[in-house]
Amino acid sequence: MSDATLQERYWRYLAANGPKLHRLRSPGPTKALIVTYFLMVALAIVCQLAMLLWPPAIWLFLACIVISMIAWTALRSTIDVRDAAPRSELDDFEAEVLAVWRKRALNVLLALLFLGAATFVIVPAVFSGRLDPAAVGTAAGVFMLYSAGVVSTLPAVGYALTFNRNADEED
Amino acid sequence: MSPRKKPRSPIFNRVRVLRTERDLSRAELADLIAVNPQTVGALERGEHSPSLDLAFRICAVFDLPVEAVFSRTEFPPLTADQLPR
Repeated sequence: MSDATLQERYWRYLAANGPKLHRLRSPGPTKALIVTYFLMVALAIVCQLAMLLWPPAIWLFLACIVISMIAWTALRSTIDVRDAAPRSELDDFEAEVLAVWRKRALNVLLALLFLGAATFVIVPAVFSGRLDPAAVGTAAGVFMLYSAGVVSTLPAVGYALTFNRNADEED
Repeated sequence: MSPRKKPRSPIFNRVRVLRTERDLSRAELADLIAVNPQTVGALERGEHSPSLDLAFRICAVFDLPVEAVFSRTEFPPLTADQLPR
């Protein structure tokens, strides 16, 4: 029986069977994929707020989510999903870059957590009785989902920005 | 986008010079030492200090001792070494 963990085996499966997208492994397309992902997430937030006043905005919201997922999947394919690779598969510099970006992601997450906590404690207290508790709960959940969706991508974004470059380009 | 801080106690190296002498691209050297090509670039720019294992692998490729490739002090230009005044 193999000693590889489930995570390692899953990563090997993804790396071996995923699309290679060699044409997108350069700085321009990499930045385009990153911008597309974050722009679509931002637009999805706007559409979700718009849905409160205009329900058909859900179709725009869904389109933004699908496009963001395509951009994200393509970006991870260009790095062979190495942000999820076991440590033994990475060289020292790759591990160092991922560690730096994971630390940045943690700092962003802590800031968002604090901001969200403060907001969802203060706002219901100030508007006590005038807010629907279910709506406040939903808003808190959506905030957490978007925070996770943004923060969890940062290590892969950092890896792609560092490594999706021409190896022989001058500094 | 490499980690911005350079190592506190930098390790200087001659990897770029030796690689160029042997007409090796970064990708070719990276293949020989089993690292990402950008890792070779980071080493050459001094943004990343190699582990002992990686340093030995690099020296094995160039067939040189460690002190000929890596140093705590900056290497003088080769012309100054070869043509002392």
